[in-house]
Amino acid sequence: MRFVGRLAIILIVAVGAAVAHSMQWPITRDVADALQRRGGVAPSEPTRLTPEVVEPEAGTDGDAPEPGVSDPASAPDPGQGEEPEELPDYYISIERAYEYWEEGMAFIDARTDGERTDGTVEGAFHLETRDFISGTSAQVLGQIDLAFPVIIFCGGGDCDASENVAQRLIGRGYAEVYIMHEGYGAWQAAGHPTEPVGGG
Amino acid sequence: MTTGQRIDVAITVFVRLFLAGVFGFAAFMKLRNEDAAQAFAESIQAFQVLDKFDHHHVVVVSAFAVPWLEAICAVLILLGLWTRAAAFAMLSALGVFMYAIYTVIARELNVQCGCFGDFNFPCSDTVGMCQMYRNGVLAAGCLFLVVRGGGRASLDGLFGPRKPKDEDLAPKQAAPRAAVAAPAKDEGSIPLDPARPTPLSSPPSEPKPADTPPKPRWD
Repeated sequence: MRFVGRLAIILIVAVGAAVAHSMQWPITRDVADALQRRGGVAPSEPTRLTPEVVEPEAGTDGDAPEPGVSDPASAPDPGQGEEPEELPDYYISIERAYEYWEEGMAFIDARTDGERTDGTVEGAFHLETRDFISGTSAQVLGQIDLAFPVIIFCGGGDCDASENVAQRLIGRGYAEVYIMHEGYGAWQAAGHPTEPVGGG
Repeated sequence: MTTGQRIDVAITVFVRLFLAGVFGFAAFMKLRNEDAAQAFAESIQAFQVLDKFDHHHVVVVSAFAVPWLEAICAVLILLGLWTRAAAFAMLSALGVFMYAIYTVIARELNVQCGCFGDFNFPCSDTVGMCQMYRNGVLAAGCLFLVVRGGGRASLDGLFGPRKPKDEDLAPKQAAPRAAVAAPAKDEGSIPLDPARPTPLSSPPSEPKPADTPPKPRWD
C-alpha cells in the first residue's frame, strides 16, 4: 500500500510540473498553429493534411503568393482521374520556389547530414531542428532578413523536418515562410541549380 | 560487513548512479530550452500513436511529463529514497517507450527519437533496434532496483524499517516465557525476574549482568 502511495505521489508531482511547465512554454502543433499563435495571417480552412477533397482554384496570374493565400501552382492538375489533395497556403511548388530562388530569396535545407549526400539547392543554408536546441541556428539566422521570404525544404514525401523548422522561424518573427513540399528530389529532377554539400 | 555484503552495496550503488545519471541527463536535454521541449513534442507526434489534432493536449502534457518524471525519478534513485517506487515508475515508462519503438519499427516509419534531445549516443537519432536494446538495458537496471531496493547505502536503508537483529528479538522471545514461568514462583522453583528476561538457552543460575551496554550497530 505504501508502495502504491509513493508511486502515485511521484506521478502526480510529475504531471503537475508538466502542466505548469507547458503553460510557460507553449508547444505549437504545426505551422498553421504557429501562424495563429503569432497572430499573423491565419491559414485558410481546412489546414488539416488529410486527403480531404476540395475543388482546385481556377486560373493563375503568375504573381508571387501572399502569405495566407493559396498558391495555385501547387494545386494538382484537374482531370487526371485522381482527387486533388488540399495543401496549406504555405506550401509552394517547385516552379514557384524556383522563381523565389531567381529573386535571391533564402533557401533552408532542413535535412540531416546523412540525407544531404546527393547535394542541395545552390546557395541554400543548412538548418536542422537540433541547431535550434543547441543555439547554433543563430549563425544562420543572422544572415537572413526577417522581412524577406524564406523557403524551406527537406526530402519531400513524409518528411516533417521542413515543417518543424518552419514553426521555429515563424516563432522567431519571420514574416513569410514557405515550404517546398515536393522536396529536394523534385527540385533536382526539374533540373534546377544544385551544388555539393558544403558549398552552402 | 562481509565481503559479499560489500559487493552487494557496490553493485546497488553503481546501478543507482548509472540510472540516475542517464535519466537526469535525458531530462535535462529535453527541458534545457523551449526548442528542446518543442522537438520532443514533435518526436512524440512523429510516432503517430497520438493524433496531433485530436490529442494535441496529450502530446503537450506527455512532452513535459516524461522529462519531469525522469528528473524526479533520477533524484529519488540517486538519493535512494523511495527507490522501488521510482524504479517501478521508470520501468513502466520504459515499457511504453519500447512498445512505441516496436510499433515504429513494425510500421517502417522514419522517426527521430529525441530521447536525449540533440545528443545521440550510442544510437543514431533515427529510431531503430539500437534504441530497443538501450531501453532494455535501462529496464534491466530498473528491475534490479525494484527487486532489491536501494540497498544499505541509501536513505531507504538509513531511515526505512530495519531488519531486526538477534538481540532485538531476545526480549520478545523471553517475555512469554517470563509470563508463563511466573506461576512457578508460587511452587518454590527458581525465582525469575520479569524485568530481566533470560534467554531459553541460558542457565538460570548464570544471568547476564544487568548493566551490560547494548552492542553498537555500525551497519
